[in-house]
Amino acid sequence: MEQATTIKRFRPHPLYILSNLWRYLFILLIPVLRGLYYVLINSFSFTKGFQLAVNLSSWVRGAWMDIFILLAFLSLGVLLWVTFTVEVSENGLLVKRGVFHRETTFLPSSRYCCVSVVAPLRIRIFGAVYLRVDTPGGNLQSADLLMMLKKDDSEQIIQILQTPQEITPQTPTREYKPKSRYVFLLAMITSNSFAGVLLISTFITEVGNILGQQFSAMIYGTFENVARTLAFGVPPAAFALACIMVFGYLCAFIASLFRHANFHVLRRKNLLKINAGLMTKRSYRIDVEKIGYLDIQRSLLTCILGVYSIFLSTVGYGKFKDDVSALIPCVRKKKLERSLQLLLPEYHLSARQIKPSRIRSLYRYTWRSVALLAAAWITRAVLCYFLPNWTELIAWVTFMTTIPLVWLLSVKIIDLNTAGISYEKGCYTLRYSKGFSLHQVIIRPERIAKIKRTQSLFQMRKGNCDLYIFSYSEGRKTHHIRDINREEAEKMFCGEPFS
Amino acid sequence: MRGKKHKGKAQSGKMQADSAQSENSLLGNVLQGNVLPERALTYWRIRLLLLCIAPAVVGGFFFFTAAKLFTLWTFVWVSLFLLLCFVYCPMHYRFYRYSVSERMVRVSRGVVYNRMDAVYIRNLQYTTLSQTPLQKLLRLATLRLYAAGGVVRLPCLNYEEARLLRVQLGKKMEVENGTGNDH
Repeated sequence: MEQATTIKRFRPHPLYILSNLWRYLFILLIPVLRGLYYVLINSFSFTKGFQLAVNLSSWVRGAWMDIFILLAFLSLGVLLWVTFTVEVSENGLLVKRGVFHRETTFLPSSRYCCVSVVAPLRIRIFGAVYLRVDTPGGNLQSADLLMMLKKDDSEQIIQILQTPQEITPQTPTREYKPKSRYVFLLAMITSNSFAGVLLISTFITEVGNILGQQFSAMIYGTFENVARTLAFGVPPAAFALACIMVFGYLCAFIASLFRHANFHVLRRKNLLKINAGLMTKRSYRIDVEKIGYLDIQRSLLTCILGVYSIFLSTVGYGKFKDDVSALIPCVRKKKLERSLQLLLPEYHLSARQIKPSRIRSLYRYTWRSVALLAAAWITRAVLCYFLPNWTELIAWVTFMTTIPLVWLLSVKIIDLNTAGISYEKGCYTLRYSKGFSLHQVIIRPERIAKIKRTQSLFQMRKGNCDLYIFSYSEGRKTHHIRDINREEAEKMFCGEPFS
Repeated sequence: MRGKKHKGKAQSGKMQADSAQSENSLLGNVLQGNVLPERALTYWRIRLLLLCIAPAVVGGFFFFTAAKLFTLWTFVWVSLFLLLCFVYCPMHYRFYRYSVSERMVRVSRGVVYNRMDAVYIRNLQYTTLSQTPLQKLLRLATLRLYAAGGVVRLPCLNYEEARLLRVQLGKKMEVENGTGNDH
């Protein structure tokens, strides 16, 4: 006998009408409302009496075009809202939308990797949330389905979909909640000045668009004056640069702290539920079977502090720039295995079995950072020779450039001592560095999409190779392990794996 | 001409019969090289005609400002339009083939360069069926098949056929999922 299928139909939250056309409405809505306000307050006069009808008719005669366009926009918004429906059954989601360009999308529930509910404060106060569904198909820059729903409706949809299946209230639950200081540390690690600077400049530009370019010019001008006044002993340009970096970092840090506040993870059967966020509340439901890999990240700072951050790579999780991507924000080395065992016992971290030679591979690991360092100092010498009046600024910039390059060299030396690959209990562990961070990736064989081996002339003599592991994901994600023994690596991936 | 018309009608009839026959076994049998309905060609031509509005307006501007440029401009865009409408579009239509087999969906197309897109049904993630107002008028639809790593687009299918294909591919995807092939 066939199982009966429950089909329920949902419509977006009414706020969707405005959210879709807000940018255009904003331009028209303010002048129209302002006009209406003046009509109302000027209608009550002690000398002429009550004149609302007269004033209103003359206002309509003057602003009829604005009112007409505003109504047209609103009608389009309503039409878009009316035609947007989601039919939910155990099999999946059937989404119908569009007024002129009709579109019907079917997302089978078996294909979801991550179902997330995102509730920014600006829509949460109206009882709305965003429901996001991601599959390995579709666009890398956008969710496969993103819709604004009532909070209750989104909960109902998740309940009907039962993502992942077979979970009852009686299913045993394991919970992980990090200490606040660990969340603070994660925010410190994951923030960078560049992102902060981008955040500030976007904010100023957006505000400038709304309040006028004069406002943006005023902010930039004030900043320039402050930089000139406070720069004691250092060139104003260098001081301004340092200020931007520090302020950018602070902004990024606060944004990251808000994003990771109230972080906690629940594990129920094959469901991993991650909740986080202060202003924007985020809740992710991930099918454990569909996790791409685990990435245990370290920076030089966390190496010194002796802590690790575990990130999760799966389709739809950490996809957007303001998404959460951590699984365990910060953990000490002693507790790493235990925390991992609690949430994802399927993943096992093993000790290095194939590793590069500390002496023979030194060049391969460090030449780039050494070359950059040398280039910075040679450039300094050349510039100082040709531009003697700028010596102070050049020296400052070189000094500022040297710090990250020495930092990078240190990371590469640590990488030389920690890089390698291993296989144990059905999981590969890949250890390598990318930029300023050190990675320990735990990946299951079925999540490896492609393996690439490259060998230079020098490596050929030593019998070594560089290994690129492509993991199964929405976009291209590679893990590059440098200068390891070719035969051993091939045996591990293509022949019989070590046990 | 009449013969050609008859041939076209016969082909169209065959397509309809094929479509009806394939209702129950569209995925059961291997269909090789299905052609698009003839309405697809009409759709492309109308779309091309609509696209000509922009150069015609520019031509109108030239008519009042630069007479020589107007002649040259009109000659270029009208020739291009005629070439695309009566040479390129029919050839594109002729070379366009799609097939749905047990394991994969293939689309072969191209006039100058031949190009073939194929996607394994087991890799399909979700499907989208869309209709522009013009497609709605001609009872056509575009089916997009989103797979892990790419998209295959089947434009201007018969609406009913596209709908049926979407449903059957959905079922097939579920079967593939049951066998444990999620990538």
